[in-house]
Amino acid sequence: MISKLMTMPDAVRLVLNGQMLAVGGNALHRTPAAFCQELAMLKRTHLKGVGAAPGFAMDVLCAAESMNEVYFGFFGFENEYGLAPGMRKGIQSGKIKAIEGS
Amino acid sequence: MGVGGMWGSDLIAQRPEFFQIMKSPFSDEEVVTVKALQPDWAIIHVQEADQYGNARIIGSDFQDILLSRAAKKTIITTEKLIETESFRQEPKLTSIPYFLVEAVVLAPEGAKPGICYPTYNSVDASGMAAYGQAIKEGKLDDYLARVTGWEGVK
Amino acid sequence: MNYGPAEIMVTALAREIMSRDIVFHGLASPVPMTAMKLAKALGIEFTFINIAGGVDPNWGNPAVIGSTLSSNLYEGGVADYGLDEIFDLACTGRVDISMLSLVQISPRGEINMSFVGGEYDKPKVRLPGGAGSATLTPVTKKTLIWKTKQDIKSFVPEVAFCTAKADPFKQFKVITNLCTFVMENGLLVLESIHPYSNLAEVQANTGWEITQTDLPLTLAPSEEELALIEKVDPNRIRYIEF
Repeated sequence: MISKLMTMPDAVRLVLNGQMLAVGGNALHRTPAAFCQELAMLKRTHLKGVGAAPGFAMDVLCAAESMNEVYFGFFGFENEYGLAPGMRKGIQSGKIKAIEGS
Repeated sequence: MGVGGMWGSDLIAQRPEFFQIMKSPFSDEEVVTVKALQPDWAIIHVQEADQYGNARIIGSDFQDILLSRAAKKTIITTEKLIETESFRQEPKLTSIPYFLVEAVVLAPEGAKPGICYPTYNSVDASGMAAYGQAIKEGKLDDYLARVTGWEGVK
Repeated sequence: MNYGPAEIMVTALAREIMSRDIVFHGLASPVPMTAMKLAKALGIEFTFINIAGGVDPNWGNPAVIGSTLSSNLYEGGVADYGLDEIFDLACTGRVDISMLSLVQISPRGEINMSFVGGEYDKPKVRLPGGAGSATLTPVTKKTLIWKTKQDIKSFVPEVAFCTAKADPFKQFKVITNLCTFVMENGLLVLESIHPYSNLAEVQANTGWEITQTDLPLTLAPSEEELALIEKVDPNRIRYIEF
């Protein structure tokens, strides 16, 4: 086995414009928030996001206008934390295409 | 690929590029099908991983194991780096094996302001408020610079 | 009165659960979670499955935050059975009850969780999505909808978009803060009114005409049920939805 250890700035640079990302975790649970916040700094564009119940991490990429397509069953933060603001803003402005799976 | 349910939902007609109704090749039944997705990356935050990419999720794994199997490659961010010997002792507890993984990043508290069981089990309310405020005021870049520790785009 | 909408809704949902049932709730579901824990505390031998993946998690382990993806729905379980497996279970007809909510519903059991106002690709208000409702509703033996705030914006003659639709040949019930509806021949009919409400209030909060006049009251929670609700939900997480 070969070591794959990387710094966060190097790892986020693996993601290129237009790629499709399956983002782990649900809502506010175990989402790769640090990674997506760092990736959002790169201003990638036309990323596609996939998840059953995406939440915080994918919302950051929506808010940063890095994503233009999201596949989901539920996209939100649950209960007191409510709806996902980046996703809502993106879809409501017509900049993000929603592909709802169920 | 064929899926169950979905009958009566407007979602089918809304997205013909994702949903199609087809006649089953095995009977006269109609079947709802969806386009199989192959993401370029699965991005998964875990509690434990080794330097090679073997990764272990503790507690609920949600859909993350499926995502790692569906994607071309996986990037792991992890709360903790552990020894490979730990995976060899309990291979059934390995959620994602190294050969699916392209990169491993040590990222303690990498799911904040959200939750990562069992280390932090409640939402960081002030972190969520800061994020919400940044979006409302159109100051996401300031927020990102602060939380990532970057001064600007490197 | 020593109970309110939360307790009567929890009790009404719990009373739908029978021995040997396989019962599912998803995320953002404090009321169903409390109902399923209450049914466990009452000794009903059913299988508790949920989006956190725990099979029969320890119901004595109380929720401390509103999220129903939390570890109290995983810890103490006898197995890990994830959402992907639960969907396969449902699609092969083996889930007896799914508990789901909604933003809008029509009298034909059409559920909107997608958007309100504008159009699909540029909505005025984007909603979170059906969270599996479109898959589960047609394949689950009995769908139980809970809605903590019934009003004419949510109980509408026509939905803006049909994210999921009730199967008229399966059981479908709607339990709100005011009353319960049941689907008969493809239409929702009022089944009972909560003791603290009345027909005029229910009609004022329903966007279609209610034709029934002589309706029973929903059975109020018993002292035992109320005590057990407090026991399984001492932090009163159920109130987050109200």
